[in-house]
Amino acid sequence: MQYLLKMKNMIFLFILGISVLSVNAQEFDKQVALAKSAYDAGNYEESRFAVQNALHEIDKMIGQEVLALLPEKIDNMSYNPSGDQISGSGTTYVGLFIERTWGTTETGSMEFSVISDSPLIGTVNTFLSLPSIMYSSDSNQKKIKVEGFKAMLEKKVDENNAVTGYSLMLPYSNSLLQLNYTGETTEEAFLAMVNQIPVTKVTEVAR
Amino acid sequence: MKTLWLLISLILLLSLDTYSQSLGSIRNRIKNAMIDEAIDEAFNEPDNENSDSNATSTGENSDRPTQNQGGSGLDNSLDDVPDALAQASTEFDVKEYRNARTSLRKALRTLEIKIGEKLLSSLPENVNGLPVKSEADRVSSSTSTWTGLTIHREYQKDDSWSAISIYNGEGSGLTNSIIRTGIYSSAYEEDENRKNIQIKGNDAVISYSDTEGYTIVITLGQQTFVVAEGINIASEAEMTAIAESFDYDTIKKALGDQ
Repeated sequence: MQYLLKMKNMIFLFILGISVLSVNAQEFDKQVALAKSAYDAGNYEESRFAVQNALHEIDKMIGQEVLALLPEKIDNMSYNPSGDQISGSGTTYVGLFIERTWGTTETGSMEFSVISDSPLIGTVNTFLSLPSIMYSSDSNQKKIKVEGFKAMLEKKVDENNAVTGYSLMLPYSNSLLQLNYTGETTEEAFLAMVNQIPVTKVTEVAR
Repeated sequence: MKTLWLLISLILLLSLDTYSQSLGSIRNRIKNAMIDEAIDEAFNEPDNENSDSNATSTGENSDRPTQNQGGSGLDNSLDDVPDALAQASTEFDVKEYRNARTSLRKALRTLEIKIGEKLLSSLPENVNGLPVKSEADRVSSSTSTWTGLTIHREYQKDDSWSAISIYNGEGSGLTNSIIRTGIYSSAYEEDENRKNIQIKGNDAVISYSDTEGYTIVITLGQQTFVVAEGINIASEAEMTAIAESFDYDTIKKALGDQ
């Protein structure tokens, strides 16, 4: 019975995913057609606006591809479908933003995010690459490698020095991948969770 | 996410006041390193016979020509918009999203350059007695929604010089907010060389320095701001008259701003 219920949910999510992709593709085609007709009419500003909207639709598609790469479960934490977020650079200066969360605040939660194709991220990544940041004397921070990418690992502690979580910041291209775990855990357990994220594939899709 | 926003806010705040200082510092460090290297090359003897085995070329034995005498430069022609849009559609259909983005950006660049050139041709040929310097006309497109489009024109008569630069993009919206919400004026409350004014009903900030002359930053619509500069301009009234020579409603309309 439980198996049938799970199958039903998976089919529903699959159909929902196909529908969303189809709507985005239609919107992309619509914006490109608008850009073309406005250009032919000599209305360059309208054409520019439509091209910016088409770029926004591409970002949404890239976001959906990244979300499709992510696991539904990390350890015993299930992902929160309503927490999936994608916003595109067509309308915001932050660039493409993708987010997924797993687990709950009561038992421990993991947050994944990618900010890509953002002019601001270039500056943030330069900031993160500074020796004073990457080789910080802060005992709660250290530089590690994840699938060959340099990243900054940070242990989060409370006022009693008890561990409240871990975070990872991994800059690549003009993008930033972040993972935040909130809850009691160890560095080894956090890195085991990180290893369940296909980092290389994500960086190939979202850049 | 909070950490990232903190970082972005910190960088934005720092960049407002320290950007030029940082650049200066980096420039000095590079300059000093280059001077040190030149002195080393001029006076240092090789440490030992094995120094030639160093894999790095010193340049002394290189056949590199000292002067380039060929090459046709870079192709800066504008991409055809319908072609770029058709290319983007084809790439999108086969899920090559990054390529589709690149094609759309080519179309966007052409469109922004055309918008800029059209706007440039609508600007006055003469402001307050200063004729246009057409050779300095410039339109640039970043194809990013953040920095967007920049249009620049200069005017000059003898040693009196003025320029107008129009910036249109989401970053300009942030600049406008800083000026309109009073963050900028409160930061420079004690500065007698800066004050808030209005140019044809648009909020603006005028500043003066003995070395740079006058600068007026005019907020325009949602995502546009204009910078009018003047060197060897006699007075604030004359600089304001220069800034008032432009039709800001036409500029807003040309950029699709409200």
